[in-house]
Amino acid sequence: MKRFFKILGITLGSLVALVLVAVAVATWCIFTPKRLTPIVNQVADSLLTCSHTLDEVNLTFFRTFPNFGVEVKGLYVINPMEGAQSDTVLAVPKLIVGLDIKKALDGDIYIEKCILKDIEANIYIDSIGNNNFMVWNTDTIEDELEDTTSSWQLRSIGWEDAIQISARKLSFVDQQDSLVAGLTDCSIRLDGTETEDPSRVQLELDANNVSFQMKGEQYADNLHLRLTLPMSFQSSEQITIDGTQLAINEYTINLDGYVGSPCFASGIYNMDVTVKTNEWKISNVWHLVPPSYQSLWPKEVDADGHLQLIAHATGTYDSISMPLVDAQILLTGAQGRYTPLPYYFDEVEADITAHADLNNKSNTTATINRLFARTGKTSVTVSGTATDILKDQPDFELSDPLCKLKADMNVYLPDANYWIQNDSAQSWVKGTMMGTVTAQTRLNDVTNFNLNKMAINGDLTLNDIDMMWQDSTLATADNLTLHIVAPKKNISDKNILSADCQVGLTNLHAQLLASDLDAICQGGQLKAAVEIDTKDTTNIPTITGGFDLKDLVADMDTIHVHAAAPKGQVTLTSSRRSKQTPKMMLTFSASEMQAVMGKDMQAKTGALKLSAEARYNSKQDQLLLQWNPKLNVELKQGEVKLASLEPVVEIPQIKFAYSNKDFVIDTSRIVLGNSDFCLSGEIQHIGKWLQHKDTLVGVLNFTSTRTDANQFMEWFSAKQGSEEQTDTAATTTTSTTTSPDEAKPFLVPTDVDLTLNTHIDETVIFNQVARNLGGQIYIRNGRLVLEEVGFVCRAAKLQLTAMYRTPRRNHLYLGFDYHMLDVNIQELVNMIPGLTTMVPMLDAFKGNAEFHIAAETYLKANYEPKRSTLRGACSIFGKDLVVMDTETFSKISKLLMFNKKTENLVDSISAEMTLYKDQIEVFPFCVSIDNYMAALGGRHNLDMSFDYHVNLLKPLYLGVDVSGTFDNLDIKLAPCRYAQDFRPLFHGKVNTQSAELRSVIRDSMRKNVKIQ
Amino acid sequence: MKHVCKLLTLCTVLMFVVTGCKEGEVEDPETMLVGYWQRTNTNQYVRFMHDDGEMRDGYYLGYEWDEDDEVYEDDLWNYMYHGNSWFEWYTTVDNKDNKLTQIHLMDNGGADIPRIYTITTLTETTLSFTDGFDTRNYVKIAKPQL
Repeated sequence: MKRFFKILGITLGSLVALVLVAVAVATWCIFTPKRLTPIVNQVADSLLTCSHTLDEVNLTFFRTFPNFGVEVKGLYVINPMEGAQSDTVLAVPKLIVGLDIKKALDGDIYIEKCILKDIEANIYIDSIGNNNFMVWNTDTIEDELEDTTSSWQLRSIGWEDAIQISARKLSFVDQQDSLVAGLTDCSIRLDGTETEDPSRVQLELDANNVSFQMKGEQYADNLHLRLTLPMSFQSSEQITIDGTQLAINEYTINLDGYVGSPCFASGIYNMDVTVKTNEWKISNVWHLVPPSYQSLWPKEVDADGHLQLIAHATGTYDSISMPLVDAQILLTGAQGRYTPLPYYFDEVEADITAHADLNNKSNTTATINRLFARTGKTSVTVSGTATDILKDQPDFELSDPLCKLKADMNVYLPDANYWIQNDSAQSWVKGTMMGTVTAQTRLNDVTNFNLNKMAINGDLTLNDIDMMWQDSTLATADNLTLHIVAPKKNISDKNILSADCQVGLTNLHAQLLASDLDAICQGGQLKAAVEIDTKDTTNIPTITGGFDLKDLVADMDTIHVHAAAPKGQVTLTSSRRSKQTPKMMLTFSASEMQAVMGKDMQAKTGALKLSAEARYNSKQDQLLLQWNPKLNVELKQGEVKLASLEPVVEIPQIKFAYSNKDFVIDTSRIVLGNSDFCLSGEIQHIGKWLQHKDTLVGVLNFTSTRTDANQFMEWFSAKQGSEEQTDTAATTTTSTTTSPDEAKPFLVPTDVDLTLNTHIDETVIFNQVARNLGGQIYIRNGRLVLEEVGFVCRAAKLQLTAMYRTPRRNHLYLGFDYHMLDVNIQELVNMIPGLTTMVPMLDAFKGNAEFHIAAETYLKANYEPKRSTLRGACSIFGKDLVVMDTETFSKISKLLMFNKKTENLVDSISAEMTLYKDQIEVFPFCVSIDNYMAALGGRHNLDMSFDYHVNLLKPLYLGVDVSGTFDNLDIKLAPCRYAQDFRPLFHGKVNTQSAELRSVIRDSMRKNVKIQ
Repeated sequence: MKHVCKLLTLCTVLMFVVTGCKEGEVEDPETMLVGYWQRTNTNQYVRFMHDDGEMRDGYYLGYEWDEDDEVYEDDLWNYMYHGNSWFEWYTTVDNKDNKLTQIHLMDNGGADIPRIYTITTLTETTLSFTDGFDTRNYVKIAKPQL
C-alpha cells in the first residue's frame, strides 16, 4: 500500500504539474490548443523519458467557471516492458483541472476542480526491481526543484471541490514480491471541502472487481471494495481516521483512531487505531479466505455462526518495534459439528480476547472470557487464559502456550455413550454430571497427550448413575461426588503421572456380570491416587485406593459378603526389587462382616481389622506362593461354618500375623465343636513347606477348658501314609494292600514338625474324660506323639505317652504308655477299651489301684489290630480291693467253700501281665480273701479261652486248674504249683525265675513314671 | 571182684551214655538257632541273629513277623528297628532242659515282655519249643523272598 500511495502521489503530482504547465502555456500563449498542446508536449518531453502522447490541451473557462481551467485530452504514457501487463503505463482520456489563478501566482496551488475520467494505470515491477513507471527525467525535475532563482515558489496545495477520479482499470504487478493487484470501475473521491476544518480530508473509494494475489495465493478476487477514510491532519505527525469504514462486499470494518509519522519516509509510524467489524456470518466470509488458509481448517469441522472482531492497536511501528494489539473475538449463534463425532453443537458462543505484544512476546496472552457450547442436553462453559503464545523469535511462529482453563460442565451422560461404545460389547451410561474442572497445561502436552504434565483439579457431581461397561459391569448410584487433583501433592518427578481422586457415593450398586459379582454400597467415601511412571511404562503404576463406606454388600456366584462400615486402603505398586513385579498392600477394618461361599463356608465376624501386603510372583503356581501375602488380622466374635467340618468354628477373638515365613498367633480363642481352646505360638517355613523344600516347623500353645480329641482325630486326617509319601516303591507295593472296605485312617504328615504345648482343663478321648491335662503333643517325622501328658481322670493321677505313626495306609502304629496312680479299677476298665481282653479278671475287682500299662500294635486301615504285632504289659498293685460277685468267682468260691459275704475284701493284689500277640500271660500272683490265701497264674488268649492254675495256700493246700472258656469251664484239682512262690517259709524255695520276670516287667514300666 | 569191676564199668558207661544223650538236650543251641525259621503251615517267620553284631544290652537280637498281617522283614529294619517284633534272646539249661528266653521289645519302650520256652527239638532244619501252653514248630529256611 505504501508503494501504491507513493505511485498515486507521484501520478497526481505529475498531473497537477502538467495541468499547471498547461494553464501557464494557456495563459502565456493565448490559450489556443494549437499553441498550448505543443508547448505541453514539449514540457512533457522534457519530463518524461518514455514515449507519450498528448492529444490536446485546452484552456477552459466555462467548464471551470468562474475560474480558468485546463482540459487535457488523450494523455498516454507508453513504456513497454517485457512481462508487463500492458505497454500503457498511464492512460488519461480526459482531465479537467480548474485553478485559482490568483492564488497560483502566489505559490498556492488551489485546485478549484479536478476531474479525471476513465483513467487506466498499469504499474509493473519485474523480478529484478525494474519498473515501468519511473519515466521521469530526474535531471530536469531536480533542476526545477533546485532552481531557487525563480520568483514563483510552491507554497501549498489545496483544493476546493473534491478531486474525482474514475478509473476504468488499475493494475499493479510486482514480480519481485510476487504481487498482483487490480481493480476495475473504480471511483475515487478526495474531498476536503465539506467541513470547515481545513485539515480534514475524506477519501472515498469504491471499486469493483478488486483482486489481489501474493506469491500465487489469491487473497481477493472479484470483491467489491468500499472505503470511506476521513482523515484529519492534526499535525504532520498525526492523522486521525475516526469513522473510517472499509467494506468488502457486505462486510464492514470500522476504524477509529489515528496514524501518524514524524516523517512518512522515515518508516516510523505511530498509531492508536481501533478496528471493529460488524457480525460476519462465517459461511459467507469463508469464501473470502484464501484457499491455502482454508486448507488449514479441518475438513471434518463444519461450523457456522456470526463472528465479530474488535481490535485495538496502539504504539509505534518501525524497524524495531510493533504496536500493541488488543483484540476481542465474539462468536455468537454458532453451530456446527466435527463430523467424526456424533455431536452437533447448536449453541456456541465465544468471547475471546488477546493481547499481542510483539516487542516483548512473552507478554502476549489470550483470554477466553467465555466459551459456551451445547450439544444435546450437554453444555460446557470454558474460560481461561493462555500465555507464552509466541516464541521469542523475530517471526510470528507460535510457541507452546501455557493454558489455564476452567470448564463448568453440565453433562447429560447418555451424550457420552459414543466414547464408551464399541461393536463387540455393549456399554452405556445414564445420568447427569455437573461440576467444574480446572486444568493447567501446555498445548503440546494436550496434543501429545502428556497427561503427566497436566495439572488438573476437578469437582464433579454425578446423579442417577446407571451404566453398563463392556457387557460385563453394571452399576447404578444415586449420587457420586468426585474430587480429582492431578498431579498429587509432593510429586516432584515430572515423569510421574499422578492424580488424587476422592469419591463420595450414595447407594452404589455394581454388578460384574461375567463373574456374577453383585455389590451394593449404601454410602461413603472413596479415595484413589495414581502414580504412573511415563518414562518407563513397563513399571507397575502405583494405585492407592481408600474407602470409608457405610455398608457394603457383595455377591459373586455363590459368594455373598456383607461388611458394615468397611474402611481401609488398597495400594498397588511395584516391588522394591523389581519395578515390574506388582505388590499389593491392604488395610481393612469393619465393625461387622459376613461371608457365605455357597454351601462350603459361612463366616461372620464382629469387629475386624486386617492389614495385608502381597507381592506377585508369576513363576509360582500356588496362590500363597504367587502372592506371598503378609497378613495382620485381628477379629472378634468370628464364626465359621464349613461344609467339610460339622461343627461351627466360633472365634470369639483372634489376632495373628501371617507370612509365608512365619505365622504368629498372638492371641486367639476358638470354639470348635465340643472344644473350646486358645491357640498361640508360631509356625515357620510355610512358603518352603508349600514348595516341598522344607519342613513346617512350629510351636503352638493350646490352652483349653474343654477339648474333644475324638472330633479332632476325625477332622484332621491326612490323605496318605508317611511311607506312601516318601517311598514310591513302598506305595506301589502297599497300595494294593489297602483294606477292602477302603477305610480312610488318619495319616500323619511327614514334613511337619509341630509341637503343641497343651494345658487342657478337660478333654474327651475315646469315651473318657480327662482333666488338668498338660504336656506336649507334637507331630514330627510322621509321628503324632502325646509326650508324657499328665492329667487327672475320675480323680486318678494319670500320665500318658502315646504315639501314632502311619507308615502306610494299611500299616498304622498305635502305642501308649499309661500310668495311673490311685485309679478306680472299674473306671479303668471303662477308660481303656479292650483292657478286659488283656486282663480279664479286672472285671472281678472293685477299688483303687496303681496301674501301669504299656501296649502297642500295628493297625490295619480300619484300625483293626495286627495281632502279630500286639505287645503289651500291665502291672497292677492294689490294696483293700473287693472281688465282684461274678459267675466265675461264685463257682470258685463255692468249690473252695468261701464264706458268703456281700463283699469279699482282698487284702492286696500285685500282678503283672504281658500281652504277646494273642496271648495274655498272667504271672502268678497272690490274693488274700477272707481266711483264704490263693495264688493265680496262667494264660489267657484273645479268643477268650484260658488256662489258669489256682492254688489255695491257706488254710490248706489245694490246687485247681481252670481252663476252657467261660461258657465251657473245665475245673479240676491239680498239684499246687505256686506254693514255693508265696509260702516260702513252709517250702523253703522261691521260684526266682517267675519273680525275676515280674520284676523285669514292673521295673521296665515304672521307670517311665513322672507323676507323683 | 573182677565181675564187680566190670559191672561197675558197664554201669558207668551206661550212665554216661544215658545221661549224655538225654532227649531234647542240644549241645550248642545258640549257634544252631541262628538263621531264618518259618513256622510250619504259616507265613510267620523268625530270625535269630548271633554273629552279625546285632546285640542289645549284651543280648543277642532277633525278630519275627507275620506276612499274613502284611508285616514284612523290611518293615522291621525301616521303622520298627529294635522295637516292636524285635526281641533279645538267650538260652540256658535248666534241669537239663534247653530254655530259650525271649524278651520282646516295644517301639515305645513302654515295657519289656519276657517269654521263656523249652526247646524240645533243635536240628539243622527243625525247631520246636513250648511254653507249657503252646508248642511251635519251625523249619529252617534261607532268607524269605517277597
